[in-house]
Amino acid sequence: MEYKERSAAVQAQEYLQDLISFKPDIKVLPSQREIADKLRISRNAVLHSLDKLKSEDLISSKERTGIVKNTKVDINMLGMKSMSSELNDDSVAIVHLLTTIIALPINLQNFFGLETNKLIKIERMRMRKSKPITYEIVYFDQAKFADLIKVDFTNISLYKLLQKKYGIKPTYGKENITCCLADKKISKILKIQKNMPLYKVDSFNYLDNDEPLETTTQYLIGSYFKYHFNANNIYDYRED
Amino acid sequence: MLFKEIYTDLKLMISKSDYPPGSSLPTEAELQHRYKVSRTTVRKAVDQLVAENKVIRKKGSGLFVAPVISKQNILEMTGVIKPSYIGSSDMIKFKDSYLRLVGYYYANIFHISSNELLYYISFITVINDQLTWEKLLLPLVLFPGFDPSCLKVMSIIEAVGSGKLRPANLLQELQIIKATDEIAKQLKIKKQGPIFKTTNLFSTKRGKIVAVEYRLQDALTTKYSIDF
Repeated sequence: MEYKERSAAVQAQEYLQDLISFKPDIKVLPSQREIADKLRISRNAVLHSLDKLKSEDLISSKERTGIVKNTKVDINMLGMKSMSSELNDDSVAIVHLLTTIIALPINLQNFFGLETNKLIKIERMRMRKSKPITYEIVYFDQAKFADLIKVDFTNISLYKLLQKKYGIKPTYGKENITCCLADKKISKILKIQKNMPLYKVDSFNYLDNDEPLETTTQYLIGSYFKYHFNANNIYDYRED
Repeated sequence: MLFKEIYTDLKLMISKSDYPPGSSLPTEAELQHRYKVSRTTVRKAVDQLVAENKVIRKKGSGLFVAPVISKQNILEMTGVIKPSYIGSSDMIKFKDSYLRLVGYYYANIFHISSNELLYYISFITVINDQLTWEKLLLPLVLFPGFDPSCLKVMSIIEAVGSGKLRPANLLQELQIIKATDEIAKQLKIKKQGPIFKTTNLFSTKRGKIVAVEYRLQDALTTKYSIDF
């Protein structure tokens, strides 16, 4: 295979990624001029690398400070943990927006079963440093969880409450992750521009007796979050 | 020479890993020359290996030793994010494959010297009209003689298992990023449009990273699902 020199822009990008990932003490990155001088490359190449890192929301320009690192909220998808314990952050507040009772929508018939009549729909929002970051809608079977209609979910972890009140917790589930653009309603709730990209996470959670417990749709602001997944012993799935 | 003998000979070489999983086999013409038999005899032997799922005949690319891990295996893995299209047949178009310097950033990731060499392999796959841009980075020292053409028939998960150190664990990171001009062009979507960027870090039991994979897809048409 042939050998190729990295382009100046790639060199600058990797130099910055190294500072971002492996030099935790550095909060403010070097200036464009400093990077160009250090790597002996053009300002143009530096600019190109900064654009690339900005497109991934890894950095942002701050007036009078320079280029700063961004920290995304990192969510571990596995382990059946609730969003509250996942965020595990005192600066995150839960705002209860609304609880209503609705007829079983067609798209949830599969999950709840046709004998289910009405659902409790709980709408909540999470705020970090007083900025909205997620909008979440949880559905329960009203016949089984009628009392939830009265609960004020402000700063209450849903799963902790289920454990305390009903002595139950979800044991397995399925999650679908897609991306959508903020519509008028969501952009208003999350205080972002219309058409900003969002993670749309639909989760379906079951009790250990295979009964459906709840299903949730979460909208998370795309630039604030990243997800990670850890799979061990990947080759144990080899065919015999 | 009978077709049975050619069949047995090839099968033995595959089982001894003279031809490892995913590697390309000699063409039928080359086999014909090697065994000094007619094309019909060679074809009969190859047909039997194809029927037994030991060899893959890829149109326009030739013969390959079948990979060990099927797409179905990957689908059945718990805790691995699965794109909804996996399992369908795919087409792969190489954009770039070359050796480059490790550099400081990847030196810290792979824990090797920044002066060593890395394979950089970049390709586009087309599955049900869905484009994915893949980039794979492998240290030369762990994958001497790596042949990118194995990616035509084998999943990345299996390809990264063919090096000197076998990975056991996979850390996946999923982010939404904006399409740069180049990404937009490659994936044929709008500039600044949302992209799912998956970063896969393959590491050994002792935590040494042996391969880094980046996967870029149009976020608005991609669905991932996870069972837990």
